[in-house]
Amino acid sequence: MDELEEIKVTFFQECDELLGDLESGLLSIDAGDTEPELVNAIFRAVHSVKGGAGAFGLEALVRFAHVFETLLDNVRGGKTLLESDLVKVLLRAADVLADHVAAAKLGGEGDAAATAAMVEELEAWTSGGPGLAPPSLQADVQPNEDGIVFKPVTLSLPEFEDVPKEQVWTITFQPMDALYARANEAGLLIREIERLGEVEVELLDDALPVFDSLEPETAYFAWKVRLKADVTEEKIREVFEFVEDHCSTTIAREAPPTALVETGPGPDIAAILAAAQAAFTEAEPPPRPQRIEASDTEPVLHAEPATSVVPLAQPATVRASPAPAAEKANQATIRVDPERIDTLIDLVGELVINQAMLAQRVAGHGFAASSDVGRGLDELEQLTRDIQDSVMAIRAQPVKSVFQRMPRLVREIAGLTGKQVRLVTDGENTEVDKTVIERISEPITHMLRNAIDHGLESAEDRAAAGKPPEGTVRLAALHRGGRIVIEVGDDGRGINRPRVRQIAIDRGLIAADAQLTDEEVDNLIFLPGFSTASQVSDISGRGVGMDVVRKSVQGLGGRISISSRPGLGSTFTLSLPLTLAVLDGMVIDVAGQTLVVPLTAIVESLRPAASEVKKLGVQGGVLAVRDAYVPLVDIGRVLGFQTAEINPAEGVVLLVDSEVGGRAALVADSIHGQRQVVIKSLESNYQQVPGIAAATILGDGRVALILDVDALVAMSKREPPRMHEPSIQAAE
Amino acid sequence: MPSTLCLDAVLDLKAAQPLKAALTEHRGASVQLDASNVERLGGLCLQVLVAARRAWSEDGHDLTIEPRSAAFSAAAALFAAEAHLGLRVDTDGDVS
Repeated sequence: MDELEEIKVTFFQECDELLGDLESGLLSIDAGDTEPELVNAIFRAVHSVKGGAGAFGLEALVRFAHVFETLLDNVRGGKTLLESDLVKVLLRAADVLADHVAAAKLGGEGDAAATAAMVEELEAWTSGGPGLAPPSLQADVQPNEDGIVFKPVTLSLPEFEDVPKEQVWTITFQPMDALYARANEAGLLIREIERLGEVEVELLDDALPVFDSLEPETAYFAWKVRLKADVTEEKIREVFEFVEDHCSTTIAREAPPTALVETGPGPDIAAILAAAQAAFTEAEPPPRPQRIEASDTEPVLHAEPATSVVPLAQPATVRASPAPAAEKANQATIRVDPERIDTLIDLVGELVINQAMLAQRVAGHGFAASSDVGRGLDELEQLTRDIQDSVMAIRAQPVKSVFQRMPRLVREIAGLTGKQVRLVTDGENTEVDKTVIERISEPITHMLRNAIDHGLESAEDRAAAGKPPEGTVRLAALHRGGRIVIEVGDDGRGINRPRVRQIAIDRGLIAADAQLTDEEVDNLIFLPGFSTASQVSDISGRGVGMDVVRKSVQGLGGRISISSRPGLGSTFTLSLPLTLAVLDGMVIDVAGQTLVVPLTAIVESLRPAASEVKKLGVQGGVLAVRDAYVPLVDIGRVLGFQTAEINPAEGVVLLVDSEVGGRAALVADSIHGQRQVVIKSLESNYQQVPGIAAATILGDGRVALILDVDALVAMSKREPPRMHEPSIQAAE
Repeated sequence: MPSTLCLDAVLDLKAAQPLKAALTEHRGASVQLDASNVERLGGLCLQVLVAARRAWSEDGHDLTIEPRSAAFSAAAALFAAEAHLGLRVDTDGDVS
């Protein structure tokens, strides 16, 4: 890949993160969070997108980001009030910005009409249109002649820092090699500073070596800029925001000659400075990305007397502790090509298999577990497990990446349905393997659509029911019992059980006189072909019902269930394995074949008495388990391994919960025990085989098939497999 | 008559290495750099040019940048590098 292209890829990755920060910041404000840092954070996000886009000449993106940023700057400066209506506009603007980024990624430009409309809206707010401060507030907060609002002062140091007045700043910055390598330019920084006020620029060329030893891609020059302007330090710092780690910068304010001797009713500036001094001394030394030329202990380049110097990397100088967001940003991370991690995980999978094979061979040679070899193997096994866990942890990602896409979806569906919806998310940092992350987006999307379209009532209906007009949809993730659980809940009307029941009867899904519990009625919506929407809507009624959601969830080795309370709402609960790379399974023998049954499907295993087995017809039968009859499923027959039936009383029965046919009893010859196995895809290595989910390699080197319990139970209800259907027997 | 070297339109990160190589080829004699096509001058190429000017001067040769595009002149001014590149003549008549 071209070097510039690589940088561009990184830029777009950063954009995704920034857009996520932007949206979550706006949503926090929308939810009532009044932390001033949030506005700064959303401003920085847009500003950084703009900065990066400028470096790549993405004109349309830069233009839109600029309009967006201008309004945010007004909000930050108190010129535009951040009221609820404006937050909604900003959220939509964030969507447009995301569209622009997505379009730029593909080499195009965002929707011009949508952009123009949004620009108009943003500019209206910027020029004080709908967001002009109401008179009552204006009486308290009067802009000065420059139109800058001075907040009524409860005196604290940050306020003091923020009050702009004519000042002289000395900014010294030295680009590092990485600044240029990332397609940034020192000239752009100077130009940005120029925009702030009157400047005098000096080129510092002391570090430039002689021509022969000059490395063309190494940065030697530094610049000192003397800036005379009505700006805060924060404003200057923004210029360096997106090159912060690639540029050593100091910003110093020349002390105004009269400020320190001023007395009277005003603030005691000397005391404030003393406090600031104390804060400087107490503050933890910040991490210093700067290149320090002169000495290790002197962090300031070209400091001048009578100036207070604030190194750029120390924005939290007067804060007792850094904000959590800032703390996170300081954590060092590296970007790694996911393919490398996938390869590593595959190799560790091989290592696990190899270790199991070695253990089996050693056991075959009669070494006792207590022998040196046995103990060594135990340690190896432990180590292998630890490596596997660590490697899996590398690929684990917070579900945030999926959750972040949902607020927009909710806004769009809310717009289409005309309902007022608030999305509440929880547990965004819950981690799960990348393989799962990639596949949960679709079911969550569908459940959210369903919750808003079918679950929530219209504002009028809600008001009539004594509920607030705005409905709440809750999306949460948590770890439970070694699985990840995702819940999508709404505070809507709940499932209309009589109607669901009637539809199921009308469609012949249940008998008219069937006795069903509330739970069973609720679960009818997962039956294929069931849809409660009398009209097919654009949103959730696309001929794709909850049965499809359930199928895709099952495809991931997960389960889905619903609980509902009439008038109070419904909650869908999705339970998924943490990874699709390994699986805990029960190893069984069927007709000489070794198979693995996913442990999550097994309720219990038992050896039935002959009296508990009841034959039904020529083939098949049921098993009496605690006052209930459970259909027997002969695995060997269903998969075509054998034609003769195993007598369940002579074999072993695994009681499983299948999503299609309720509980079933799988009949096997014998059980070997539980084992964690590494999943190998059959689809990608061979082809899909009915009743088989995947394969694995056992310790003795044999391939064992992993059963797809639901498919197996479904197959058992049909005719035995015909000869031409693909069937596979494990290789010896 | 010094030899002439025509500078590329875009003098960014990628151009820095080739620029140094091209200049090295002209070492040992006066050279005139034609900057009339330059649309963009970045910090790295600026370093190469300033270092080259010093080296030529120490060798006792001239390195002049003439003619210059408006973009080149503007960039040199922005970087405060006019004196370093010999574009500005100080009041006492010396080329800084």
